[in-house]
Amino acid sequence: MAETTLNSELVDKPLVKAWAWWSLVWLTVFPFVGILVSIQFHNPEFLGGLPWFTFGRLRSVHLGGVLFGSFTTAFIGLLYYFVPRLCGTPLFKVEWGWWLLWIWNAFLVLGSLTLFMGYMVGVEYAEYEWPLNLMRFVVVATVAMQVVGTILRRRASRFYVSLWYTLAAGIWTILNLPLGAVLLPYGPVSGINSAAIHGLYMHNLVGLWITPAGLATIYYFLPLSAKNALYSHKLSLLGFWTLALFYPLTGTHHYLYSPIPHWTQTVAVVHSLWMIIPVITVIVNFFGTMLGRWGAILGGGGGDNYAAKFLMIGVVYYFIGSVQGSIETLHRFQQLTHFNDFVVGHAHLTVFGAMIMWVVGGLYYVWPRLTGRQLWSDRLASWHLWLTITGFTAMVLGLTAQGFIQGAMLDNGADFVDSIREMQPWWVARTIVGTIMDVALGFMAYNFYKTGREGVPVESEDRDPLQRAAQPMSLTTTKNWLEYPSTVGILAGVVFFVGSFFILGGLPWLQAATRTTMVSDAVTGLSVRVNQYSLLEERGRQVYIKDGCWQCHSQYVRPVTGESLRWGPVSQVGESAFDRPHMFSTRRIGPDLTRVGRKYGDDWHIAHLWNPQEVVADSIMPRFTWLFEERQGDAAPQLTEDGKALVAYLQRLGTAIGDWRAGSVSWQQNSGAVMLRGSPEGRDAVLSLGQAVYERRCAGCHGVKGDGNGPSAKFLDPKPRDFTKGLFKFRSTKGKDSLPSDADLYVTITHGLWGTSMPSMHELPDRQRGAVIQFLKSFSDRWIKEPAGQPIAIPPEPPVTPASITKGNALFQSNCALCHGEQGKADGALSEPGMLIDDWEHPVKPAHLSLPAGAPGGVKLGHGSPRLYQTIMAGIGGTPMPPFDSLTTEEVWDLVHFVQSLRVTAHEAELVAVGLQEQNRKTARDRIWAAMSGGALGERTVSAETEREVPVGLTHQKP
Amino acid sequence: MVKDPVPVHSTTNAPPREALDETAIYRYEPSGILERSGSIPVWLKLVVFGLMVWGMYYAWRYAY
Repeated sequence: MAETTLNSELVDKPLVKAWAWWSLVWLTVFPFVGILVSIQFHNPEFLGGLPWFTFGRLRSVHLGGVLFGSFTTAFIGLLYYFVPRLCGTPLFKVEWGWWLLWIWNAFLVLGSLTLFMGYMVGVEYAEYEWPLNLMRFVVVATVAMQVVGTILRRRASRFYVSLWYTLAAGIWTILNLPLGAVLLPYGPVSGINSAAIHGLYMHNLVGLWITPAGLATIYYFLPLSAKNALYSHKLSLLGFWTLALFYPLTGTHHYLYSPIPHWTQTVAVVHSLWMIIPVITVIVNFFGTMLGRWGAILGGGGGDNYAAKFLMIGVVYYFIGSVQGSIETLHRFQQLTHFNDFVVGHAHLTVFGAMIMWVVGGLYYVWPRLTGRQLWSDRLASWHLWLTITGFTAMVLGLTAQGFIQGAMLDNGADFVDSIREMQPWWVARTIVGTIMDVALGFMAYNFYKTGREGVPVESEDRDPLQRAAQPMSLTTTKNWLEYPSTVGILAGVVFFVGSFFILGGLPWLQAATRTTMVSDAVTGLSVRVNQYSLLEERGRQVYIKDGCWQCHSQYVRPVTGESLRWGPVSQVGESAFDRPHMFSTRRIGPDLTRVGRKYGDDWHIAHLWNPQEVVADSIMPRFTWLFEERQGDAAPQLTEDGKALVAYLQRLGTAIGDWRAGSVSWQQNSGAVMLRGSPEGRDAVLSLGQAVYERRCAGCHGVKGDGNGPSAKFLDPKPRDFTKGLFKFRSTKGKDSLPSDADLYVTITHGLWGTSMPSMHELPDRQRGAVIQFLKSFSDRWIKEPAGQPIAIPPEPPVTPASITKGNALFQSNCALCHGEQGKADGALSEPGMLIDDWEHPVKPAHLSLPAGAPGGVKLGHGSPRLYQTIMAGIGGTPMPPFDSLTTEEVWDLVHFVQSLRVTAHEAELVAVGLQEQNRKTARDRIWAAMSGGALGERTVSAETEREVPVGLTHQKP
Repeated sequence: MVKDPVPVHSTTNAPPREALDETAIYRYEPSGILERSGSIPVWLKLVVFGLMVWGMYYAWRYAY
């Protein structure tokens, strides 16, 4: 063994051994939890129905467990070994180490248990509740105090690079932990400021805790295990100081393209780029240290050689992962890779590939010295090494490929669910290789156990000739001021950290615009207020946090990769003003939920929470059965109060910017008829595609037979369409219950039916929408026996005038009020339950004509002029709403304008309720009209000046 | 094993830092770690310079 035995009494070996034992336990347990997490990706029913093991909670246990259990336990044990040796004096208050060990283990056990139970604060990497955070802080702060105390009492004159990193890591983490544990969950920051500080906290944990701790470890153990001099002191200096300078300023790169001020994002990207400098520097230093020793190390056995092997394989992964990390912050690159498995690959490369490998290397070095026995089995160590290399390399390659595949798919407009489906085989592979990695760690633990029991005792330590030349120490050597403990501790540890917090956290917060509670209304472009969450919504938010929904669903729409077409308008600053902590998230295993409010009816959410796969066959969301009351017979399960609150919260999301769906381009797409033409082979191909799409997207509600009795139908009201009857509600063709055109069906599929469980399918590629239309026509022979109805021509819309609205009102009272009510509020005489029955023998309720888009009971296809005109002329198929084709064209337009005026009035009142200023009321009214009516544009209510401010896509939609 | 004939300095025989060349080796006691004074390769200095320039360009390009 290369290490001198001089002053061997410096180290409390039983203490180090105890920490090392527990690190073996946690190195096995917490990665194993990762395997359970991985299985749930391809088998979401795995451990389903058990709230303790739902994905969102398991992932938190895995993340926190690996960071603090697997890595930190090992690091503290190793630190207790190398700090006294580097300082030439026993550890300060070494006896505290035993108390700290048990507090630490209690934190890990109780912390994991409470996460399983759903006690989570919703801050990624800081999920534990405050008592656990306190325990964690006490241990880390006390260990840091022991390090500082030992350094202050050191007998060694020079201050080795491992001590720089250890000292700085301790100070950085003492400063950083309160950000995640106190400031974010309980402090006065919310919304985008919460996200900005969270980005700092999260990356500081990686960059200012485990990275410097890992570097401290390898800097100590590599020269000793390789039995060679560290390559360059100058490189050590360059690497440390550039890391200390650049790493604290990288955190915001987690939230690029979010509403966080752009300049802070750029600062973070640039510093992330510059992180290549310390990375390459330390890599050169480590490879240089190995010069002339490769052959002996690679061909050698025993603890020291395996230590060097693990340390160097960690160096390779560190290089790949770190350079990858810098590059993935670049704007265009991140558009593709953020939110997907590319980032997961990067995280595993750095945390497992580098940091875990380095502490594993350290453990291989110290374990024989702690036990006084040689490593029990070189063969088992070799299996550990090669299974790790094989499994981990395969995992990282797979995750990286997944990231590119999913990113490219979404960048090219693929449906999100399709991109998830594409990941399935890759996720299976990840489970397999992840299991291999955990088995390898198990080999290590077993080898260490056997070493302690049966290893050959070390009789004498063969000491390096250079070691024998060791001289007594003195305190006279000249030193560089950059390696003074005070410089490291105060300048790097405190000043750089506080400076970075001020730049990336403080300065944005000081900008009043980042704390606004106002947003721009999506239809009018005018400023309106965001309301606080109601008590029910806030309770739902807590359920969202407790069940870890944020682990899979992001809540900000970026202005890139077509996200605004996929999810809805880009996120605004004020929308998250009352989110403390924010719910931006860093992953999209499921779709973004920023704009999910009113996308589906409540019943859809209920069915989806009960069994996601019954609603969306390719969904990998777990079931949330604990949000339901106990079932009574065959009745559809009912939500608990928590479940209702969660649905209320989801329905609130994204609605603060007003009635955006009414003007969204994606929702308004039209197309010409999709006809089934061509050869029989071509028809078969279309029908085959249509069937595949139907079974994945539609059968959950409409049933595989198209009879409207899918497994989720029991939850839904109104009931899903029964295609076997060939009756369709929404058509543009003449005559009662006429067949719709393909274009009509395309519109319904694309648009969805607002306020019901029929969602917009605008994300589906055109080809799939066209194909599924052909397939669903195969359920009824009406399509064979009858031609499609003749299309209703829509004449030019006359101007909207008070006279037109007045005449429309009169027509409405005589033709429509009996069902819809005098003011269109669905309160007419025939609106009572059971009075109106449709052809499917389901009770129907007239539409409430003034509700916003997506509100249950409102209009299903919007208030656009052509749509209302067609609906009046064609009626609603299969329902008591007849065609009013006996009215003149002018009368129909008058009716349309009156119905629109109901919504305009209501919309205006909604804006006033959220702070629309009085002087802006007319402008708001003009813009609302302009968004729904070509007649309003033609008239003049919109001035040339204000019209220019109407957002693109919110102006009149051509039919 | 280190075959380097370069003299090893410890705290008792260390010359002033400015007198150490890049091949000098220092030994930390009592850990026994050896460390070369070393140097920073020219190519690495070029990488540092290039990245600093690229970073500043990037900051300017994406400032707002």
